[in-house]
Amino acid sequence: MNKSRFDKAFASFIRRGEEKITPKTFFQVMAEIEQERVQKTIELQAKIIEGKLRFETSPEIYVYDNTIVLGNQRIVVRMS
Amino acid sequence: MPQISISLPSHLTTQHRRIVLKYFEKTQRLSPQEWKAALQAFDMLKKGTIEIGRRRMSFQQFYDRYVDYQYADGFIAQLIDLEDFERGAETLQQKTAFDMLAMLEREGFYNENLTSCEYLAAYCLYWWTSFAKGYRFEISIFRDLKASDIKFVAHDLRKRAERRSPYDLVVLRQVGDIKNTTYFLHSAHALPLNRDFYITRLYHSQRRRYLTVVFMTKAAWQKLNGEVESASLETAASFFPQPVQIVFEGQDFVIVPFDLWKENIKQRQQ
Repeated sequence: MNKSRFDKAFASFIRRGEEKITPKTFFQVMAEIEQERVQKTIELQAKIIEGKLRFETSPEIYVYDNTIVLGNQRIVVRMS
Repeated sequence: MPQISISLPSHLTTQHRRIVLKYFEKTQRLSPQEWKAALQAFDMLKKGTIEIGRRRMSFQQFYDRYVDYQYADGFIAQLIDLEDFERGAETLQQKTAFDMLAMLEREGFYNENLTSCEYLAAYCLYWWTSFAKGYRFEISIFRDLKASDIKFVAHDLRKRAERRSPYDLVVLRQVGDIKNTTYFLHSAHALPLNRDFYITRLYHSQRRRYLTVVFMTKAAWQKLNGEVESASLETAASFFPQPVQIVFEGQDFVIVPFDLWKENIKQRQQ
């Protein structure tokens, strides 16, 4: 550990005050956050058959009727 | 004195550690990728642990006990009572941060012989600064809203339980938070943005000053009859400080200057 380097960094940070985050940096960081979270997009097709939503089978994710199975979760999509 | 040891989360990489130091040394030189990594690192660090004798606690629990409980109420009370708020708040914030670091050293939590203690100190300083800047900003916004005759209901900052309420204020039945820029980004990184609006601020390089903005859902802006142009996250900055609509994680948000938001609020409240 180089305590003196951290001491100096902490003191400079405290005295410097503000981060001065510009709109450009702000939106770029938001884009980075979004990109990290959305690792993959899966598109599903669905049809309305006799008034009920029915997903078409997908090679990427298990779906049946109006249900998506994602890991240990079952997502049931209902029409309002 | 009890024996003290510190363990960092196993998923905190060498790169994260490097960026934690860079955050304090050269905040303005962080790239967007490094900003994201810094937010990640400070989030991960809450799961670091410190053992003091037989007592073991996370960095987050340590912060609550040794920093928040010791300094927060006094800081807020002094902040609210300041006569010269702008000048006094900066001085008070700096003094409290140095006092907090000195306390960590005095109590044996930050010294050359304690492995990884610099990250405990970094965690405490990051969150203390977020807290202090956040409430300075919040108080200045409340004062501005009162001076502008905006009707709003806000939590009582002097009461710890109310400070931890799910939102900071209600205006026209819309719930909102007031967040310093770094803490807003931290929230966007760690939590879903589920308030109707967030009051934050961005630094305008040409004008060399901060401009307060309201980051709100499109639905909240539509209720105020606001107009806006759409942009991507890549192009949104070029609209600043004009209102702009973006999509973030599939949800439509609008960023408008604080003064314009206040004008529209006042029109609805009259």
